[in-house]
Amino acid sequence: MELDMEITNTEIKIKKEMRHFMALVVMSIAFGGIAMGLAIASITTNALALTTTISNIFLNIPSIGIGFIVAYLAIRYIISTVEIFDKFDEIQEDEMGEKNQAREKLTERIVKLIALYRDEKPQIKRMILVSKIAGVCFLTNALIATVTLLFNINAGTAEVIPGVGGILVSIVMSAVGFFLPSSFRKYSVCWDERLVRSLEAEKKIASFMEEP
Amino acid sequence: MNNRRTQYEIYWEILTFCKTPRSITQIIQRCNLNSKIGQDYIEFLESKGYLAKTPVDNKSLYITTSTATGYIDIFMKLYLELFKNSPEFRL
Repeated sequence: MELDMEITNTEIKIKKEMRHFMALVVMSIAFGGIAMGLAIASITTNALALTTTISNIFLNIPSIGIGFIVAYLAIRYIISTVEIFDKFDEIQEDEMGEKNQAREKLTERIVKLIALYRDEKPQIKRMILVSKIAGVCFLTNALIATVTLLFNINAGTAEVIPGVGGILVSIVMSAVGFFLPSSFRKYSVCWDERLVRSLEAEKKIASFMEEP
Repeated sequence: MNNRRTQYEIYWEILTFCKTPRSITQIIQRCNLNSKIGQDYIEFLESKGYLAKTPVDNKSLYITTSTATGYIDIFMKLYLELFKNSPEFRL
């Protein structure tokens, strides 16, 4: 009875954790997509601005540069996230099976999750880094856009309103860029600890196997 | 499952899978091993008395023995414990 309760609790915990992780991964893919879209939009807008105005050349060129960096990072980010999503989804789709097999199925899921984390650890660390860099890029872009807007403050409402909109989008994206790595880091810390504990478990298993 | 697994995790997978008699090909396919490594694992488990050959329809299949119950149980207990006291995640 107590064992059943323990299994059910662990099962609920794993399911909840997997759901949250999946939500984070989906958010990351969306973030990557939006980041890429905005970066391409920023490159296009700034490149067009270069052909029409000369006064903002020192702001447009860095913006184009940042746009290219963000677009490249976004592509890398989307690819890595989709790979993790695919492997994770495969584990999530596994059925838990009959009640008498629940303990076995749950252990199988844990083994798969641990193996996945062992495999994807460098990728997850890279995702954390890329997301942070993208966050910094968006923040920088927001600052550059603010300075540009201040230069053109007398240009009229038609110019200022889209400019403010662009700044707000960049700020929101930057906030998401900082939120995602902090959430992934929480998982990462927890899973690193589990990996350490799994090494201790391995030692116990090894000594059990050596027993006559 | 292509991911990096430890030898103990692979032993556990083989032993759980062989609760019903299985051929070496089935074990290798299910546990995603290459034939050389798969053979090594099976031989090791046989030497420990955890796996035994059993004839089924003129074929020699592998089945998990009662000696392996201790290994399977301790493995499951220790792995389920990894999720004890872990934090709740919220978005």
